[in-house]
Amino acid sequence: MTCIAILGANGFVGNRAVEMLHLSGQAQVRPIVRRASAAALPRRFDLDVRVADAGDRVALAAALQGCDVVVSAVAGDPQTIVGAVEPVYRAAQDAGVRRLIYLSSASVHGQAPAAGVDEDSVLNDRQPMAYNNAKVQAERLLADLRRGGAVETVVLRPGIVFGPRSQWVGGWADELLAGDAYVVEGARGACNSIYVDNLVHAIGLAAISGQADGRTYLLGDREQPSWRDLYGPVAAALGVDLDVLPDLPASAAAVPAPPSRLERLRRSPLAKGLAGGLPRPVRVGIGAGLKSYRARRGPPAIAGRGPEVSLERAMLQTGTVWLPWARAEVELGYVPVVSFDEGLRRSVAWLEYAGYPVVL
Amino acid sequence: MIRIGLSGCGAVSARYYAPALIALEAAGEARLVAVFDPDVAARQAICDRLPGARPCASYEELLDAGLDLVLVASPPRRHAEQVLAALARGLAVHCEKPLAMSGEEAATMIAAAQTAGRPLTEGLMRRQFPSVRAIADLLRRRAIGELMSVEVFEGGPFDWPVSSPGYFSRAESGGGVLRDLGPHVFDLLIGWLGEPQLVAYADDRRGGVEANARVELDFAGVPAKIRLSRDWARPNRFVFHGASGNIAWTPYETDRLELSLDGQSAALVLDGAGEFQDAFTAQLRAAIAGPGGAGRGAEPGLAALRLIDVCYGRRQPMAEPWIDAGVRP
Repeated sequence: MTCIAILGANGFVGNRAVEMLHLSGQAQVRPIVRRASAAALPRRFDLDVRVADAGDRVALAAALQGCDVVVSAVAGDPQTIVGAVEPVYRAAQDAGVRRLIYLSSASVHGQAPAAGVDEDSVLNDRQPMAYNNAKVQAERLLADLRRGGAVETVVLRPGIVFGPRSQWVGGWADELLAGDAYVVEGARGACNSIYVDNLVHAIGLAAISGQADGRTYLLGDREQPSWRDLYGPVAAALGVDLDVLPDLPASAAAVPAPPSRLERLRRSPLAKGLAGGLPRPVRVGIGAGLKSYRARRGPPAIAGRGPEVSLERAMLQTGTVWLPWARAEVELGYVPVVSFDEGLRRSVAWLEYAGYPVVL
Repeated sequence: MIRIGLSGCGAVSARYYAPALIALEAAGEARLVAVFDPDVAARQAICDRLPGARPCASYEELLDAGLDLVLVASPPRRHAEQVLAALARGLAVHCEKPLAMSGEEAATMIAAAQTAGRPLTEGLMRRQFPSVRAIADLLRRRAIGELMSVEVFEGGPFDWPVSSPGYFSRAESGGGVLRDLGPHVFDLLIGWLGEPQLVAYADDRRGGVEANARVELDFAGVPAKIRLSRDWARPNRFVFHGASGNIAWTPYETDRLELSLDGQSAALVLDGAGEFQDAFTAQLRAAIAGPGGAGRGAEPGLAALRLIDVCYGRRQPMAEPWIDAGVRP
C-alpha cells in the first residue's frame, strides 16, 4: 500500500486528508506535525505521528523514511510558506520519496482573477496580498528544485477550500457571533469554492497519476456559487439573516492592517461581558462569599464607525470569474465527489458538533 | 520548614510549581531540596531557579533526601508507583492531576495514604479560586432560583507543550481530552452539585485517544451537558441556568463571573482573589497544612476519576457524518 506523509496534519486540509486517506484504506498515512502538541487530532487514530518542522531538512527526512508520497499542507506566514519549500523538497529526496504534492492556492491568480486565467497564465509576485506572493514564489522555487532533483512534483491550486474547521465556516461563524460580520457589495461575487473532500480526492488522484509530474492543477467544485451561497446558509444556521449584515462598498477597503491587541481585547466576548454596569437586582443575589465587586470600565464606544473592510475580502466578494479546472479533469480524472450543497450541509452539521448555537 | 522533593520537571512544574515553590520559600514556609526527572536538562533547569535544590539521578535518590513532602508532577502513568513509594517511606504527597489512570488505582493510592497515616492531596487547583467558591455560595443560596440545567464547554486547540506524540495514548496518559480535563471539570461540578448519574458519553476516538468528548450527566434531576475539546476553539464557559437567572463562569478566571437576574447582567469581580498562579501556591499550602482546612481542601477527587471510568465504560462514538460520508473504502 502506498505510504503518504501529510505535512501539516493538524491543519484544516491536512487533518481531513489524514481522515479520508486513512479511513478509506486508500493509503498508509503518516501524519507529520510541527510540535508534539499538534498530534492531538491525528492521534484520534492509531497512526504513527511524527514531529518535524517543515524547515528542518534532517528531522523531516527522518520522518519521511519509507514514504512514497508527501503532501505539503504546511500553513504559516509568507516567510514560512517560502522557507519550507526547499527543506521539504530536499528532505523528500533524502528519504527516497517518489512524489511531492504541493498545496498551493488559486490565489496565485489574485483574489479576483481575470477572465481567461488558467494554469498557464503568467503569475505575478507583486500582488497586494503577501500570501499570494509567497505562494507564487513557492511554486517557482519548487519548479526550480524539480528541474535539478529526483522527486516528482505536483502542484494543486484549490480555490476557497471550505468545510468543517475551515475559516470560511468556523471563522465566519465566529465573526457572526461576535457581531463583526459584514459583506461587500452584497457578497454577490464569484466564489471559487471547493469542498475539502473534493480537494482530498484530488490529492489522492495526484498521488497515483502517471502524467502529473511537473504539472499544476486548478481545482474547484462543480457548481459556480456566489459568496452569498456560501455565507448565507452558515449565517442562517446561526439564526442570522445575511441581508441584515452591514453591506459595504468595495471602495471602503483600505490597506489591510491587523487589529491592535487592545482592539482585539475590546472585541472579545469577555470584555464585552464585563463592560456593563451593575444593576440593582444583581446586588440582591450576592452571597457572603463575595466581599465586594466592581465593574471593569470598558473603553469608550467609537461612534459612527462600522467594521473595517479587508482588502482581501473586498476583492474576493467582487470577483466575477470562476476558474476552470478542466486540466485536472482530463489529466487526473478529477470530478468533484461532493456537491456544494452537500458540503454546506456537512459544514453546518459540524458547526453544531463543535458547539456553535445552530438553530436550524 | 517543610522540605519538599519534586518529581517531574515538565511543563506544569516549569510554568506553575516552580513559581509556587519560589513563593513558599520566600515566605519561609517550605523549601525545595531535591529534584528528579529522567531528563537531566529539565531537572537542572528547575534547580537553577531554586538553587537550594539538589538534582537527583533517580526517584529513589529523591526519596532519600530527607523530605517531608513529595510533589509528584511526573507523567500520569508514573503517579501511582511514585506516590505509593513515597507513602511507604512515610512521606506526605501532593500529586498533580490526574491522580491516577483510573478510579480503582486512585482508590488504592488513597487507601495506602490512610494506612500510612500520611496526607495525599491532588492538584485540583481550581478549588482554590474565589470564583469557584462564589459559585458554590450563589448556588447554595439559590441566587438564580431553582437550578434547571448546566452547560459546559472547555478546551480548544491543544497547545500544552507535551514532549512527544506518545502523550496522546491510553498507555501514557490513560485517555484523551476526558482524562485530561475531566478531573477538573467533574471535580468542580461534583463539588457544586454532588455526585451525578451518567446519562450518556460519546467521543471521537477511532483507534487512538479522543480529542472531542460529550458528556450528559444528571445531578438529582438537573441535566448537565459537558463538551470537551482539543480541537476547535469555542468560548470556555460553565453556565448554570436557573429559574430566575444564570451564572456564567470562564474557567481560569480566578476572580470573576457573570450573573444574570431578571433579564439584567453584571460582571462580578471578587476582591483579593489573586492571579491564576496564586492558586498553585495556595494548593501547595493546603497540601502542607494537610486535612482540616476550610471548605474543600486538596483531597483527591476520587469521585471525578470514577466518573471518568464510567464514561469510558459506556462510551459511544460521536456522530461525525462529515467524516464518514466522505469515506469510500
